[in-house]
Amino acid sequence: MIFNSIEFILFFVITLAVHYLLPSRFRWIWALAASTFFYAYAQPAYVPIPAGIALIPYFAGIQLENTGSEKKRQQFFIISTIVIVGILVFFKYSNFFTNTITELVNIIRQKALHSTNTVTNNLLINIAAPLGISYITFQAIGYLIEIKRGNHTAEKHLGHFITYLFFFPKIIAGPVERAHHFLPQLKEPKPFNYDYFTDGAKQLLWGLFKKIVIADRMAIYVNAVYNNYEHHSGITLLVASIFYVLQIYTDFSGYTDMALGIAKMFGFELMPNFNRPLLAKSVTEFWRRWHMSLSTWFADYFYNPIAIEKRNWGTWAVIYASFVTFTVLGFWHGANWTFIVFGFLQGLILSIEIFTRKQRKKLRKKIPQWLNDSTGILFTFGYFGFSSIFFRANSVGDALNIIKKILAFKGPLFTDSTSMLLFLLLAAFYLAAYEFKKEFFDNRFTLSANKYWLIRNGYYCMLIVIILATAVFDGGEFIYFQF
Amino acid sequence: MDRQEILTQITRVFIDTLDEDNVVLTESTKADDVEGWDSLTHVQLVVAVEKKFNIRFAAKEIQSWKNVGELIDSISSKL
Repeated sequence: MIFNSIEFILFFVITLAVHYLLPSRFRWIWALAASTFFYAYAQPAYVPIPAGIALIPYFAGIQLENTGSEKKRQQFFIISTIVIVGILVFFKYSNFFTNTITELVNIIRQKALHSTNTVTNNLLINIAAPLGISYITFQAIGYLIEIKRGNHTAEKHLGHFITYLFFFPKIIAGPVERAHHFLPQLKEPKPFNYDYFTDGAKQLLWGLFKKIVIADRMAIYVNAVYNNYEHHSGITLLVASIFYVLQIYTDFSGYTDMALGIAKMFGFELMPNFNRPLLAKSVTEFWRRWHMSLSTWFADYFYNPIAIEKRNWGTWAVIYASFVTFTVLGFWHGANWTFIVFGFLQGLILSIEIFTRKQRKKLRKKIPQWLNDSTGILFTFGYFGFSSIFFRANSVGDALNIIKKILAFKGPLFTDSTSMLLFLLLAAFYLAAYEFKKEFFDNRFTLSANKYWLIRNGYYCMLIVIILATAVFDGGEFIYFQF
Repeated sequence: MDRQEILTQITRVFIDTLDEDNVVLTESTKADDVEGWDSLTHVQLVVAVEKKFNIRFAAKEIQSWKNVGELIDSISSKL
C-alpha cells in the first residue's frame, strides 16, 4: 500500500481518527496494530520476519546491559549482529553470491580445464526480500551499538520497542530513525496540536506533489529512454540522465516528506532525510544533505570506527574509511555491480576532495563567492548525475555505453509529444525555483507561510489543483522501496 | 594544565587542522557549531589533539564525546 493510493487514504483516515479517539496511553497499541496491518497488507506471510528480527535487538539489548564482563558483552554483541545481518544478507544477497561463485567456477573450468561443461547455480532462492528489511536491520544494529557504547539504556517495554521498528510511515523506506529519538515520543504522547497537525498535512501534500507531479512524470521519460538506450541519441541520454537526478530526488524526498508529514499528523517527529542536497557545493557536502538519516548512521557506526581504528595512517585513514563506507553503501542498494561502482565513485571523489581541501580553500579566497558557489553546485550536480548513470542503468556495460554516447553528444532529442516535454521542463523549473528560494531567501517571498491567510491557503489550493490536473496517478512504487 | 589552558590549546589545533581562522570553542561547543567540523575532519582533529598533548585516546572515548567539555575531560584525565 503506497502513500499515494486510494487504499492508503482509507487506511490513513481511519487510523488517524481512532488514534486521537483513544486515551493517549493506549495509542502505541493502536500504532502497532495499524503498522502490522500496513505491513501485512503487502506481504502477509512475511510479518514474522521483521517481528523475529525485532526480538533479537530487544533481548540482546537487555542482555548487553546486564552483562558485566567486557569480553562477554563483546561476544554477545558480535553474535547478535551477525544473526541480524545474516538474515539481511540471506534475503538480499544470497543469489548474488551464489551466482558470482558459479560464474567464477565456470570461468575456471573453461580457462584452466578447457571443459565445455558448465555448472548451474542450484542454490538460487526464489523469494522476494521482505519489505523494509534493510531499514529494520539498520535501526536494530544502531540500537545495539548505542547500548554497547553505554550511550543509552536498553528498552524494557517489548511493545514499545516493536512499535519503534514497525511504525508504518517509516517501516518500508525510512528514515533510519534512532531509538533514543523515537521511544521517548512513544512514552509521552503529545496531545493534539492544531499547528503541528496542519504542518504535517502540508508536508504530506508537498511530498505528494513531488512524487506524483514531478517524480512520476520524469519517470515516464527516463524509463522510456533508459530501457531502450540503444535506440536513443547522446543528447537524449544526457537529458534523461539529468531528469533522472531530479526524479530520484523528488521520488525519495517526496516519500520522506510524506512519511514525516504523516508521522507529524500522529504527533511524532521523525528524523529529516534531505536538506536540499542538489544545491550542495561539494560532494562531501552533498552526502551531508542527502539521505541524512542513513549517512549519519553510516558515519556514526561504520565510517568513524574504521577511521578511528586506522587513525595512525593520517589522511589515508580517512580515505580508506570513505572508500570502504561508500562501497558498502553502494552495495546496500542492491546486489548489482552497478551499485558497487556508484558507491566506489562516491568514495573516489570524497578522497579527492579531502586531498585538495586546503588548495580549494586558497582558491576560494581569490574568486568571487557567487562564482565559487555556482561552480561548486554545478560540479556536484554533474558528478552525482554522472555516477547516477550507473545507479540507474541495468548493468555496468549499459552504463559505459550510455556514457560513451553522451560524450559523443550527437543526435536529435527524443520527445514523445511537445506537451510532455513542456510538462517536464515546467516541473524541473518549479522544483529549481522552490529549492533556490528555500536555500537563499528562506523567509522572503514566502507563499506557504505568508502572513495573509488568502495567499497561504491559495498556495495550497493551487498545489491541490495542480496535483488533480497534472499528476501521474498510475505511477510506480517509490524507488527506495526496493532497497 | 588547567581546563582553560587546554581549551586554548585545542582551539589552536582546530584552527590549524580545519584551516579556519575564526574558530571559537567553549566547553559546550558541539561539532555542529563549528564550520568544517564533520565526520571526515573529526578523525584528523583527534589525531592532531593526540599529537599536541602526546596522549592516546581509546576508541570508546572518541565516540562518546558530546561536546568540547567532554573532550577536555578526556585530555585532562591523561595529563
